[in-house]
Amino acid sequence: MEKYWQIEKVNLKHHIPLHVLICVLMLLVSPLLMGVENLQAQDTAKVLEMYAALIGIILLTPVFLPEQDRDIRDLVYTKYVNGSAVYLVRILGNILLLAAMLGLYVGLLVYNKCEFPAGKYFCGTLTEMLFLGGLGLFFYGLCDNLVIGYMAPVVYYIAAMGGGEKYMKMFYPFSMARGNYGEKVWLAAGAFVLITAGVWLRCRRQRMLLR
Amino acid sequence: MSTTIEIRNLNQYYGRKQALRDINLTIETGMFGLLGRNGAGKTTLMKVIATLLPRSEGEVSVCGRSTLRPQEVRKIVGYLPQDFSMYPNMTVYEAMDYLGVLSGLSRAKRRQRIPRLLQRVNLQDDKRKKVKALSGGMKRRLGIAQAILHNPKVLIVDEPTAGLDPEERVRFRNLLCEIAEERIVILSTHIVGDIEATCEDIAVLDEGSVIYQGTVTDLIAMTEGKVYTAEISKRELEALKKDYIVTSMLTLGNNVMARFLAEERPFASAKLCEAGVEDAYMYLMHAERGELGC
Amino acid sequence: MLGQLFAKECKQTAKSLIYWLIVLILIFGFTTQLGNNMEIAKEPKPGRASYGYQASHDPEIIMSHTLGKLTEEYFRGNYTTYPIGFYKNVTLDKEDDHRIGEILKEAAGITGKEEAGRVMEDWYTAQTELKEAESGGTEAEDMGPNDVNAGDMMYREPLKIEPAAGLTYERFAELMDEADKILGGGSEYGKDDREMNAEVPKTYEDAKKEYNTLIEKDGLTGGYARLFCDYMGIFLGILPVFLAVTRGMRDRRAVMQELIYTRRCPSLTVVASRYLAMIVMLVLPVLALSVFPLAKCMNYARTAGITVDMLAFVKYTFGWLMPMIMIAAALGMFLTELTDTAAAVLVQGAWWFVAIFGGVQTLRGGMYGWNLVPRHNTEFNWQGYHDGFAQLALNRTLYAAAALLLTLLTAYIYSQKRKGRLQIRGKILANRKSKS
Repeated sequence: MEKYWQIEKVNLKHHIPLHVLICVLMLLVSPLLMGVENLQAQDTAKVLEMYAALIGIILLTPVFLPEQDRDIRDLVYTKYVNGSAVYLVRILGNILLLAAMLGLYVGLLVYNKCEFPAGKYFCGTLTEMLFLGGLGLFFYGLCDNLVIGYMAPVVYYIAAMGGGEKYMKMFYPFSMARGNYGEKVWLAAGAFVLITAGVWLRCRRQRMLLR
Repeated sequence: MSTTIEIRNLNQYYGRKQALRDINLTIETGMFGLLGRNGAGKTTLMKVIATLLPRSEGEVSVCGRSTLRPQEVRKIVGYLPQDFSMYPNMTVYEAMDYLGVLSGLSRAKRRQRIPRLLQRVNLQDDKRKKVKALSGGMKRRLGIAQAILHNPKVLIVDEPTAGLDPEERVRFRNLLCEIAEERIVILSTHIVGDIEATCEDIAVLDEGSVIYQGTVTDLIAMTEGKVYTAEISKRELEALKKDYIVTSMLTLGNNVMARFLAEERPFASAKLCEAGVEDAYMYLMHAERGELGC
Repeated sequence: MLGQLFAKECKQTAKSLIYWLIVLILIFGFTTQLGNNMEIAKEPKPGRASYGYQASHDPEIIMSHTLGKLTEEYFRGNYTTYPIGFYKNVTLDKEDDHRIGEILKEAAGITGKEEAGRVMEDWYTAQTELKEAESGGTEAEDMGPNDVNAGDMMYREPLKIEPAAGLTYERFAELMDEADKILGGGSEYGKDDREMNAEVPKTYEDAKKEYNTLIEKDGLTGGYARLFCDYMGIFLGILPVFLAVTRGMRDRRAVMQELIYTRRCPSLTVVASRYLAMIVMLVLPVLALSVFPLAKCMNYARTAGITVDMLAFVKYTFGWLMPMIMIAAALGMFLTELTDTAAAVLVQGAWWFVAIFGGVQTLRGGMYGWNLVPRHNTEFNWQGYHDGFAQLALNRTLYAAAALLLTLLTAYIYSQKRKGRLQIRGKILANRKSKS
């Protein structure tokens, strides 16, 4: 347990403060860009799904970045028995951070008298965050390229905006704004698969490099 | 036109930390060795000469061209950093060709020089291999080839033998010696054996200062009459280590054959022997810090 | 040196994964948005029930429509605005609400919420009756009052309120500007929006004129080239940054920086060759894709006996899309060189976000403003394009110039980094003696 806490401490201290700051800023400037007061359920869903969920990309995609440098990668992977443990701890930590930020944001919306089922929307938005971030993480792991990692969820987002419901079906990310919730279950499953596969790909690549 | 590198009163700072202190050096055609611990300032000095770092104070001129005009210096300097690679998906030939264009070589010149250089570093059969498929030694050789691609007057190589196996290392040293026949080659290393085998002139850096500049022979001469060997028990070795600099030891059953430095014969069984570069280097480093136990 | 480097950069780009991913995305974007469902407009036939809607320029109509919206929103007590483009619902405090009431009274003679409510109710009843009468009770067209997608479509006619007697258009404009200011900007009452508010049904003559303009002024292809640019712009407003960031980080990733830094090649040549290669390699697939709608247009033109402007797609690609590619790539290169991180993705992403949502209000075209991604989501509206052309040209010139400036700045930063200056990312780390 101690070991995992250490990993997370290093993560919090060195790897993600800037990313967290960007996420917080993004959420803080949202009242300038859009309404966050007295919203109906579907308008609230729009704010959450089309805007707030984007921080998932920022916080989850770069979890492999600290070991991008080959030397550091070799060093770290000879130290820890299981490379994936480092990533899983980091991912879990970042998910908790996302949940905390989203929680505060949802709290703000409730405080601003938006009328919506807070718990349900919280879960739905978090799920979308994980799916967007999971896409990033998966493609980063697959291509070993952070930029491609960012590109994947961004393109997915654009495609969804451009009438993507037709093509994405159960993976349509903005379903709550249309009053549907079933897609979120698919997104959750997808997020789980993407994150797991991303970490697996990265660690497999690791072993290939060490050999 | 001048054919030497002149360094006058060079000081180099990283923020508050002083990396080089008042360096004065004149480097002439042939192999020049830079010796020193890790972090002594060798890489910094080389980067200043290669125009990769702006000098903080002092003057550096390379064959009469000041490093204040990097464009001029870059035309006549080839540089091989310690850590380097090339675009992994390029072939050996493509990588050379790309760097050749950046060096301003015409297409005809590149076609003529690249195969010749690859032959010289023994990579002629690997020119279609991808850079990512090269071994450490091959990559080093490719590194040398790219550094002399534009036929520079000065070649700067930073720790070129680190990470090479003994055979590769010997081959690499010989290659450098050949190249040095017609130009200045500055070689940094913390492996004393490299210097012994290749360089006539050397400078030793310690904490950013030059603590020795001269020939290898003179350096060894400084230590003449100060190197002893003795066969002692393992228990005695601890005591010996406290008082003297032990430069090597060889275990012989329960005893140890120790080689150490001393101003005068410390005990009767100690035998005076001929000094090597390694002894001289150790002597120098410790004398400089006043740590010599005698 | 530049020419040879440029050729080598193009070759490298053509071998990179990210480039082909971008090309794939462009193809995907093109086929889903435009390729499959692009129908060439047919010449309108007389006698149809509806020819769609169009914006009116008649002050009387603008005033009555705008005041109708104001009455409706005043009655509801909340206002829809789009400050920099994203939907925002504004509810006013008592004082401001009172002032809107005064404005409405002066402009339309409606006093207080109650009267506004009565007006609304009358209109709603009339609409419902009208709809029932028209549809004859068929289920298919019936949209429930709560159906959000129905929007204005569920009403046959929007609410119109006659302006108060003696109200001049100038005074009306003043009042609406004030209302827009109270609402924090981006409301229905600002200048651009209120002029777009007045939608009137198109007549056969209007539709016919629109069609003729497309054929005569635009040579058919002009209109479709704009539509092509509108769709492709959504993707090209962000994708180039990914290519630029990847290229910018490649040297460091390959540990090749110092080998390149110590070459004699001038920094400007290095940066310019990379930049040019990126632009050319990104424009190529766009030009290739434009062949499809061009072919469709030519096909149609042959059967309809029209002459088309063959070069329209090329002209629009270079004039409309290339500045976008240029600025996104330049920004990517600049920030990557400056920070050695992928920060440019975030910056360009944010800019794209604001540009896209900011453009939602201007889909019809003609109102290009300074938007990075100017919208013109129709093959028609040549007039709007014609009127907005000066602004569009300024807009595109500005971004192209900014892109060139950023490229020069990138070259400057590059030259400084070569000399060991401006190493923002870990000065000590960069110069540190690495462990061996």
